[in-house]
Order: sequence, then C-alpha cells, then structure tokens
Amino acid sequence: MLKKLSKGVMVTVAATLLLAGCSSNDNKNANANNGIDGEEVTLKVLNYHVGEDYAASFFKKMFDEFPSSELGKGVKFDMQEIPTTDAYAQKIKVLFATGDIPDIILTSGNNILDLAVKSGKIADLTPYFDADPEWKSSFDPGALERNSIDGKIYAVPNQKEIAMIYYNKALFKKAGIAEPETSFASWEEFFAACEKLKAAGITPLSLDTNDFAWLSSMFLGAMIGTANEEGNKFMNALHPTNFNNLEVVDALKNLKTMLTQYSTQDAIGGKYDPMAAHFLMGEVAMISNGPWMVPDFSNKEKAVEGLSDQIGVMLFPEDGMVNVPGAGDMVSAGDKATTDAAVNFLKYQTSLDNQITSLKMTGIIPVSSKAVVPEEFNKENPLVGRMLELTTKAKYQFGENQANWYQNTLDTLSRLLPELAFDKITPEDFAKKLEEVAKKNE
Amino acid sequence: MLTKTNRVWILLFLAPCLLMFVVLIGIPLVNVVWTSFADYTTFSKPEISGWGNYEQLLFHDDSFWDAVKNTLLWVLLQCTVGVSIGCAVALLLFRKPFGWKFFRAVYMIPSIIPTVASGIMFYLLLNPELGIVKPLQQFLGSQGPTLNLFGNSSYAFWALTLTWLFYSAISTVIIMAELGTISGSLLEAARIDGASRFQIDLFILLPLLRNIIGTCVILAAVGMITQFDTIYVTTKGGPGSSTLNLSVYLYNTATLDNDYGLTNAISVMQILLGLFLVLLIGRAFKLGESHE
Amino acid sequence: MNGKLSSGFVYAALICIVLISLGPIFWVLLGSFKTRGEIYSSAFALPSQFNFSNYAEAFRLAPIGKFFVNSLIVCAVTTAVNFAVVAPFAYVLARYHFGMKKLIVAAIASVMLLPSQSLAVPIFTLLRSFHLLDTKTGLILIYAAFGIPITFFILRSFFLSIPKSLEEAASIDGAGFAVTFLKVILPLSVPGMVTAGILQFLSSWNEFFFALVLTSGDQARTVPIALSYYLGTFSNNYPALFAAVILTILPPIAIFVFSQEKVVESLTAGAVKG
Repeated sequence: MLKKLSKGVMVTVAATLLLAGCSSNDNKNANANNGIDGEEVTLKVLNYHVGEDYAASFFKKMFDEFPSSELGKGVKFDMQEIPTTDAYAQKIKVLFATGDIPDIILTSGNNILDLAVKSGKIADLTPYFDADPEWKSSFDPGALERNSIDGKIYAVPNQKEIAMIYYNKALFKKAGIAEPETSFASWEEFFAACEKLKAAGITPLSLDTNDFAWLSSMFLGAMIGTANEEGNKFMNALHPTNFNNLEVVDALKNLKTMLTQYSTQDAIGGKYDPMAAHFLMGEVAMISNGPWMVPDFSNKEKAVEGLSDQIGVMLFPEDGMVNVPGAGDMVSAGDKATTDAAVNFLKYQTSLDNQITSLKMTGIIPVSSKAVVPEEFNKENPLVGRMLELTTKAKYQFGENQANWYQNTLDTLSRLLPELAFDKITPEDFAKKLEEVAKKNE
Repeated sequence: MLTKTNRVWILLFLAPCLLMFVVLIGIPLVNVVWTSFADYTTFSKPEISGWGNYEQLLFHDDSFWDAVKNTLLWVLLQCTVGVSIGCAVALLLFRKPFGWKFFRAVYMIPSIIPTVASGIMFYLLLNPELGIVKPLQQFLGSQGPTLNLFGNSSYAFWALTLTWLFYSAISTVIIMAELGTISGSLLEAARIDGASRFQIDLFILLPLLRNIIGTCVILAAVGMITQFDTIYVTTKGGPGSSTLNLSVYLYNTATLDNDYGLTNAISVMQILLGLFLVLLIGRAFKLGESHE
Repeated sequence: MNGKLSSGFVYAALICIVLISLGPIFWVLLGSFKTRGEIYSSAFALPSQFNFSNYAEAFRLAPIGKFFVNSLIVCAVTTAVNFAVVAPFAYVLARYHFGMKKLIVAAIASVMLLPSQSLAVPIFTLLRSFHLLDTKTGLILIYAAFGIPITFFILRSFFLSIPKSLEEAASIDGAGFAVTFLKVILPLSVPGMVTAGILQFLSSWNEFFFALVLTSGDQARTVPIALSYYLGTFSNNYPALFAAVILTILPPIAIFVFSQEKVVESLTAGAVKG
C-alpha cells in the first residue's frame, strides 16, 4: 500500500502510522517497554549528521519521530551534534579513552568495530537478534557477519555500500565512444576509451589524492578487485596487511597512468570537492562514486545546467562494483534499560520502511534485500534505479578500501600517490610501504 | 626591597597563576609524561612498558625524523625571515606615514581569518588548474605543464612556507607596542646629530627592542612547532613526508594509529625540543635581563 | 635629500602589505557571493551575481548566532581572567630573583608547546571531575591557563623595560608593594597589556580542538565549531562558510582597531624609556 503513495507529508504521516501499527505487533517478542514502569530513559547520542551532511534531514526525522513511535515510548534523546566525520572520529576516540561513550555509536565510515569490541565498552547484541527473529531475518546473513566478531553481533548495519562509474554521455559521444551495455569488457578497453577521450581534447577521469584519495581509491580498488580471485579476496578482506602482492602493484602502475595521463593536472594533491566539481561542470568524462552523488547532478549550485540528463552509469570494467554491507551502529554496554532502548532505536532506524525512507532522502542503499524499492522511486530516480538494476549484473563484487583498510594505511596511500605520479617512488616500493604501515596496527 | 610585607605580597602575586598552572596544566602534563612510557591505545588502559615508545620513535621511525627536520627548518625560517618582516613593518609604521593606523589594522586581518577559510584559499590559489600559477607561467612565457605546488613534494614545503612567512602581524603588533614607549626626545636628539631615519632604526631602535624581539622570536618558534591548521587543510603532511611536521605527525599517531602511548612520547619530544630552542633563543637575546 | 626616495620606498612597501593582507579577506568576501560551482571554476572569477542567499544558508545550516555570543563571552572573560592571574606573576618574575626562577620560566614556556591532542584525555577527565564539562567556565579556565605563557612573556619584557628608579621613587613616597604595581607599573604597561590581551582574545577566538572535545551543547560552543557545520563528508559548502566567516570576523577586527587606539592614548601620557 505504501508503495503507491508519493513523496510528501502524506508518506511521512502514513509511514509513521503504519510503523506504529507494525511495531505494536512486534511487541510480543521485541522489548518495546523502555525503562521500568513508565520511567523515562535518556539516550546519549553523538550525531554527526548535521549541517551540510548528506543525511542530516533523514537522521533528524529519525530522532524526532522515534520517541513518539511504539518502540520509542518513554525515550528521550540527549543529543550532541558533532559537525563533520573528522571531528566525530576525534571526539568519539577521546570518549572511548575516557570511558564516556554515548549510548548509540553511529558508524562513520571509519571502521573501529574490532577496537571497540576489544575495549569491552560496547554491548553484545546477539541476544537481541535472537530474541527477535523477524528483525534478524530482515538482514542478509553476510551483513550481520560483517558486523560480528567471534560469532557475536556487535553492530547493526544500516546501509549497503555500492559504487560504480558515472559518465557524461555528451562527452562520450563527442569522442565517438559507444556507451557500454553494462561495463567496458576489459581494463584495456577502458584505457582505450580514455585514450580516445584524450585525443578528442576531453579529460577522461576525475581523480584525487588528498584526504585519503577517495576518487582514486575507487579505481584502485576496482582494478585489484577485478584482477583475479586473489585480488577480489583482498578487496573484500577487512584490515588487510598483505599489500606486497602482484595485484596491488599492477593496480598502482595503472593508477599512475590514470593520474598522469588521463586526469586533470590538479588531481595530484587534489581534494575530492574540486575534483568532483570538474565532473559536475561537465569538463571531465568519468567519475566513480556512490549513489549519494546523484542529487548533485541536478543541484544548480554545484552542476552545470542540464547535466543530470547527460549522466549514465556503468559497472567497473569486467562487470565489477563496490557492493558490501556497511559497518553498523554500535550500542554501549550500559545498564539494561538503556541498552534496550538503544537497540530499539536501531530497530526503528533499520525497519524495512525506514530503509526505504533513507534511500529516498539520502540515496543510501538499503542493507536488507527484503526492503522493496517502490517502482515510483525507480521512475523518479532513473539513475539510482539503473544502479540497483546493474547490481544484479555484477560479476565481481568487492568492498571499499576506505572502509576496509586501516586508517594509517589510507593516509600513507594518500601521501604517496603524488610521489608515485611524480616518479619519486616505484609501485613496488609503494606496495611495500603500505604493507609496512598496515602491519603497525597488529 | 625584600621586606616582610613584600614577601607576603610576592606570594600573593605568584599564587593564583601557580595554582592555575599546577591544577589545569601540571596534572594533565604529568599524565602525558607517564603514559609516554606506557602501552596505551585509544581503546585500552595504559600499561607501563618502559622506553619502548621512545625507542620506536628514535630508532625505527623515519617519519619522526622527517617531521623533526621540517619543523626545525620552518622554525628557522620563521624566526629569521618571518620576524624580520614583522619587525621591518613595525619600524616602517613607526615612522607614522600617512594612514599608518589603517595599514596596521589591515596587516592584522590575515591573522584573524580562520584557517579553514584561508587554508582553502591558498589551496585553490595554488591549484594548477584553477589558480594563479597557470596564468603566471604563461605570462612568463614558460611552456610545459603547470607547476603543481602542493602536489609535488619538491615544492610543497615551500608553497606552505609562502602561506605564512609574510604574515608576521603578531610580531609587528608586539614590537609596535614597545616602540611606542620609547621617548621621542631620544629620537629628536639623534636627528639633530644628523642621523638618517634608517640609521636611527638600525643603531638606536633595534638595540632598545632586544628583549621584545627575543620574545617575538620565541613566539615565532613556538608557533611553527605547533603549526597544524594550515598544513591539515592543504596537504595533511604530504606528498610523502615533505610537509609533515611534529604537530601533524602527532595528530596522525593519535587519530590514525590510535596509539596514545606513542603520541605522548612525541609530545614529550616536542616539548623538549621546544624548550631547548626557547632556552637557546633566550640566551642569544639575553632575555629576561633588564636593559639597564 | 633622499627624503623623497625613502618615502617612495615606504609607500611601495605599504602597498605590498595592503595587497597581501587585504587579498585574502577580499577573496573570502567574493567567495561568499559565489555559487559552489563558481568557487571551483576559477580562483579569481567574480561571482555572477551578488545575492545574499549564502548568508541565509549560513544561518540555516548552523546555530551561528548562538555560538557567536558564546564566543564573545568566552573570549572576553578568558582574556580578563588570564590577565588578572598572569600580570602580578610576570611582575614578580621580572623584578625578583629567587632559586627556582629558571625552572618556573621553563615550565611556563613548555605550556606553549603542549599539543592539545595529547592533553585531550587528561583534561577531559579533569574537567569532568570538577563538573565543568560543557560549560563556558570550563573552556574559559582551560583557555586562560593555556594563555599563561604568551601573556607572561610579553608582560615580562614590558616590565623589564620600566626603569627600577620609578618604583624606588614610589617607595620613598610611601607607596606599598601592591599600590606601586597598580598605580605605577600597570599604567606604564598599557601597550603590553593590550597586546597580550589581543593575542589571548584571538587565540581563544579561533580555538577548535578543546571546544570540540570539552563541550557538547549549544550553551558553551563557540564559532569555530559552527564553521564545521558547513563542511560535509562528501562535499563542503564553502560559500556558506565564507559568508559565516565574514559575519563573524568583524568583532575581532573591531576589537583590534579599538584596542590599538587605546595603546596610542596611553602613550600620550608620556614616554618613559631611553
């Protein structure tokens, strides 16, 4: 029924009503009674989805509406806003060290699950999942496994990380490149297309190296992840330390070519924002990113007029894509009433309906394959719709290095890429250096 | 002068500052020093491990030495060129040219702009596609690719130096305040004796400014040792280690490696290095001694 | 004879100063009118139109007004507390010799070198035990304490350059220790006091890390935290950030200009050195 309704106030109202209805049914097995006998529970939350954050409005809605839902009865939030994930990571680490962690620890892309578990300060959520089979079964087993350590679930995933290549159809046409069906059949074809674009006076790729080299990492990961089985395994591993291997070295070699031959001059040392702007201004033919970039294509402040009609999306060469369940939100190991209430919030946030709401409001892909995307959505958002469709055609699936690799390894990657581009380090030494740094974490 | 009542007053004068120092800084400082001898991460309690962190830093860590080298070079540049510029501007403004108050205020403005804004400005100004380098190179008739000042490790250090070297307004303001207290009759006498303005600056004013210039040099040195914001906004210490200084390295160790023990060992090294420099500068300027 | 030449040189230098100094603020001002696309199309281009939507956006995205008021209070009180505590201390250290003096000066100097990253955890714990987390008082105390060395070094060198004969004269006139300090020394040190005050005010005004770690709500947070609201995970709203910078930079500039005027006034009271 919900599927037929369009956006707007009606959805919100209806969804809230529906949810209230659903969750009261769940009450028998779910712990919906927060606090003891009507006493209020206050949940401490650090929220970095504020200000300019892409998911600010979605999280505001969640925090506003939860207390009036059935699951959130008697819950109040003690909300602390922390603008930027950078500041959030700094503060949350200080709080871990001082023992003052919030009751709900929102994931921020920086995977601290194993460290948090080691600290003994976060709650084992396995009993909650076992007590509510319906909730548990709404997640794919892989998603829960990714948030488990030694068979115990410690975090609730709330998104699927996916990424592919966006391309500018007009620029492809100008260079005489046919739009691939799902992807370029091989990396050779991809590089041939880059060469063609370059010959036509068009910069093929938006890349960067600063701030953990987000855009370049996409291609680097894709080249490793589609190289062979070994490489694919490597790109799916959490916190790998064995960088000194053929797949990584080859990918670095190719990335060097991309940075020096096929990208803008400012890619080396470049930050994400201005590099994305090159694509948004219609100056560059391809960029790789997640679906959260889609709203930017039609944002008049950021993109040239009419860009959104020119954007196509394809898989990485050889039908590869980033497709992994994300690291989830954690709950502090406090007293039972607080933990119960915190888990209830995460249940609310990851209800199938709210996963769809999240998709609509932020472009975040639902982590549950059971969350059915309404057809209207695909019609109104053909690009994301196409991405969801391509997801079913991917041959190689792999994770993002930004989520999987140790932070200091990403920092080293980011600082050495310019050295690679300017011939100051060989791909072989680069790989060795990454391995050396990654091993510092052990 | 040390009468009994004076003694009481002296204690009263010292007490609040010492109290504030001991409670708010002393206690945390002791914590930093002892945990520098511990295995201590963001997610675990400190456990004493002896000299391990220092051994790691001093003997097994190239980045640390890169950071020390860059820090020292920046300190040297700022203490010499930077303070000289600040001092020259102060002497220039002290001549009270028309509109000098305006110039004084204007020179201060860059030091007030938050680094998140000025950092991104420098980043974009030196960007090889969007910035000033491309047109400048074309103007100078150079062929070939545009210099990538922040992206190439051969230039990044100097590019960053340019973002702060000329902005010595803090020195200027401090020195101007001191210049104001110098008696006009002294200058008048020199002028009557036939000294040129430049000679007055050089032989009369500069010697009188010894103490305060020493203070400015100390502040400049400290400012460079603790410089963080601009580097973080523009290069994050890269490419390679070309712009890594102790502060950025320390930040990385704390937030990327999650290693508080090592972080605090770097802190202790940073404090020791800084104190050594402060003492050295103090010696060189005979700081703390009256002019008489 | 060479007067013309030298005044020509002076103005050439001053024009350079104006260019490198007004350049950045002018650039930020222009940026506050640009669209996000325009920021990245050229570092020099003028905005296509002068509309104030970025200013409205600046207010919409962050509680900038509230944080601004907090900043004013925190910085003003910090400066006052810092001065009240450090001035007497610096005076005694400038005038009297005692055993531990060198050690104390070294300890004071070390404060400037302390990285906030290392201190975050112990200071957080300390303020928690005083129940001062998320309060303006907590921030003020920390800022005032970290400001000790700069104020100390500046004031000490001012006190050192005041001739001892003045105090001796006051003492002969029957003035006590405290009276001499308040009535003779301080008035002669106004330029130093103001200079130290400005530096103290500015460093607290732009401080980010302790403000982030030690506060959690709207009651105590300051402008640098507000500026972070314009930065996102994937993209930054620089035009709104620049607008917020323009709005919040005026008070520190005004305070600077006003206080420098005070310095000049205090100097007309008569010079003492030489």
